[in-house]
Amino acid sequence: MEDGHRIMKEKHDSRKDNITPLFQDAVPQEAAGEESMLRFLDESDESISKRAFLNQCTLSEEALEQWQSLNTLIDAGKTLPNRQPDPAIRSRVLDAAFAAAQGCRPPRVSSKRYSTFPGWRWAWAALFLALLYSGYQEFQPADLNQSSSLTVAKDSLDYELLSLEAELEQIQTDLGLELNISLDGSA
Amino acid sequence: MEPIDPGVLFLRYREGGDMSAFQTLMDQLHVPLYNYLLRLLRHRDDAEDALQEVWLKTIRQRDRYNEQGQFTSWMYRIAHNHCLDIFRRRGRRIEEYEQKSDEEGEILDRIAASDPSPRENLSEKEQMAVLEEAVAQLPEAIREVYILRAIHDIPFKEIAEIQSAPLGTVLSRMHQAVRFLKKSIQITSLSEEKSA
Repeated sequence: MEDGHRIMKEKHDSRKDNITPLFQDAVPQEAAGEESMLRFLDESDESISKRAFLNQCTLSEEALEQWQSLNTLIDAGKTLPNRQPDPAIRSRVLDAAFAAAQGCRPPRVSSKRYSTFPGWRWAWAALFLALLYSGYQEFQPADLNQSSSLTVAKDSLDYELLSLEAELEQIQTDLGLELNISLDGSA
Repeated sequence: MEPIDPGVLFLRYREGGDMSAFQTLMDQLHVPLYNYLLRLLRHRDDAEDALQEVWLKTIRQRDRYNEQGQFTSWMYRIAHNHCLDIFRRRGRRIEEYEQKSDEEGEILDRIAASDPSPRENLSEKEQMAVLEEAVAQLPEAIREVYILRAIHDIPFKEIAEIQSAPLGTVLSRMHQAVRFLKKSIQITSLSEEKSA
């Protein structure tokens, strides 16, 4: 019984040695790693754990420096300049909010990107339409314009026959002239 | 005068159609929201389109707002999801946004650990420009955490809700951002100027 009590006491004492109170941390900067340090940014200054952490930092110059540089970096972010959006967006949103509050369907609002449609986009659109039209002309079915194409073919054939006749007449005339010359010569 | 809580203003608009409350809400959130979108998307036209769309979604989805939650976080969550849609349209998968960001974060960590030369002798204005440039270099998910925490003062717990990520992941992302940015600007000189 006494042995059991002694063993329990020894176990208890050994556990007690392993427990290190927060304010007596031998190496504070190790306990307050940079990542765990970040959690304290969200805690209020009155929080017990944050006060304990800050006390811990005062024991280590390195930890204090880390904490200060972290805060400076956060503060620096707040001082970055803000840019202003296009004022037209605000009025469009207000119109939509008003319409929604009245129970109406919000007006359709155009996006900024397409409100100022650049010229080159129109040019591409026009080129695309032109290509589409020429492709249609090229590959349209033959029977749609069959009668008109036959007319064109007939006309061109007539024209060719006429020109052949004219050429023949010209040849005959030339031959006739030559014949006349030879006749004259013989005469 | 203490600014009225955005959630209260939104409820006044939602429940009673109070347009002056909505205008005050816009006064508070319009410009910060635009700058969040601009820094995340890094394209002015995209950011302006997104700004308008986020407000319109907020109006359309007004009944979904839970009064218990923070209105600002709810709205930034809409904005975050809209940005993911834009990344998707740009041909990026969402897993890429997270995985690539974390992988790049590790690379940034290594760069930050190895780079021994922070820029010195810069004016405060120049340091701000350097910081802006360095923030732009951060991968999206990491950049978003820094923007939300440092610039918009949103607690990590709410950022975790906005990004739908565990708190540990958010803290790790912030840690990576801090390590990289610390090397990019000379923190010590800034803190000296501040204390002076």
